[in-house]
Amino acid sequence: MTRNVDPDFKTFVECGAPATSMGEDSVVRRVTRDLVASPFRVALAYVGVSACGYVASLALCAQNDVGILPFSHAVAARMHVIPWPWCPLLCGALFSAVPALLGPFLFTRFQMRFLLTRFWWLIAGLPLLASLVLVATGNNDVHAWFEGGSHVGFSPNLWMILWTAGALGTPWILEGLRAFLLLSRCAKRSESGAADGPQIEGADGPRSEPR
Amino acid sequence: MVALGVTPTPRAAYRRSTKESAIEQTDEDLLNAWFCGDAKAFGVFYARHRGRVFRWLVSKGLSSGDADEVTQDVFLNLHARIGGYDPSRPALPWTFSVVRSTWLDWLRRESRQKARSHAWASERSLLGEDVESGEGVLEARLTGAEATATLETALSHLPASTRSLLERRFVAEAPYESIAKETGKSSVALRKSLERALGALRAHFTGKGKKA
Repeated sequence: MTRNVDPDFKTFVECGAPATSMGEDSVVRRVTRDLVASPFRVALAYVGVSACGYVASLALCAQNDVGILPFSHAVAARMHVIPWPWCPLLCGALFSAVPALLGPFLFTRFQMRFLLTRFWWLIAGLPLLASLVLVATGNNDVHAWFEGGSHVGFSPNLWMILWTAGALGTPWILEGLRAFLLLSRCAKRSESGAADGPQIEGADGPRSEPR
Repeated sequence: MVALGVTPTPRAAYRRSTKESAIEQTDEDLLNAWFCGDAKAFGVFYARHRGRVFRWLVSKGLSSGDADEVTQDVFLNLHARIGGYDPSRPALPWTFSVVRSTWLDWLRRESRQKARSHAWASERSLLGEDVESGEGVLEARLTGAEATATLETALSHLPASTRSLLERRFVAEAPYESIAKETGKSSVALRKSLERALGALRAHFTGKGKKA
């Protein structure tokens, strides 16, 4: 059975032969700016941005007695007033949420997709590493809240487990949500019907062969 | 509406695309890798299809310069709409749908611009200014002296207030806002009045006014 192929599309297919060189077109520069030309550089940038995020987080609220500003210790003291078990969960969430929230402001959605598809292990591993570093460098025994403070009667170990759950769960949930949104295909886009896919008769032909 | 990605998943497609050398990839793989942010995939896709897009546009009657401009727009549009590409469908028809819609947009834009420049040329010719020949403007056929005489007659048929408006706008070249302030009219009403006045002058030039 012969299919009724759009004559314009037929001409388009026949217009064939690829261009030999890319040239220095402005469109190439504009599009490439959004994309990732060097995977190493974008991964490094992500690590740098995350490090800045963790520093900002420690400036906002001290964690495990590690605080950059006097203000951050004051905020931490206020956080410990929050009833159990929300205090450790919130502390951990705050620690990791800042770097996770910085990404969208500094990377394009294409760069984020690239990181999520190719460097997912980095995105998942950084909060783990940061939490380990903080636990290793922080002073975990100074929690006076366990001795007559707001958390009296609760185990510091349980506090630490909950804090770790908050510190790891928050970025993982945020990044998972981001991956879902960024890697989902738009079934319908408002700006053009063309994005729905071809409306060309006979266009459901075979997928293109490798060159 | 956002729908979940269909097979192949972006990650799987990207993994496959990075394993193969870029030149061996199918268009579908390249679009997937482009969607996942790979600049190399975009480069290969661009090099592979730029010529095709350009030649198709030329076959539709565009000059080489215009075809080049539209080709650039096509790839920018593809970049903007890459999220709408369904990896289970073939790439070329989807690409072509973007090429065709970009071309149609360009045609619409061009015709609007031509209509605007035509109206502008008519306006200028009514004021006895130079008009480029070959634009299809009726008034351009009149010589300078004839045009001035006809314009004076046509103006004399208009109410004094309308003549004053035309003078302020087209002779003194006052902005709409200041004329609106002076006359106490709104800017929209003023534009309407001027439009009607120009219509009356145009009708006089074409002879319709005389018949009426």
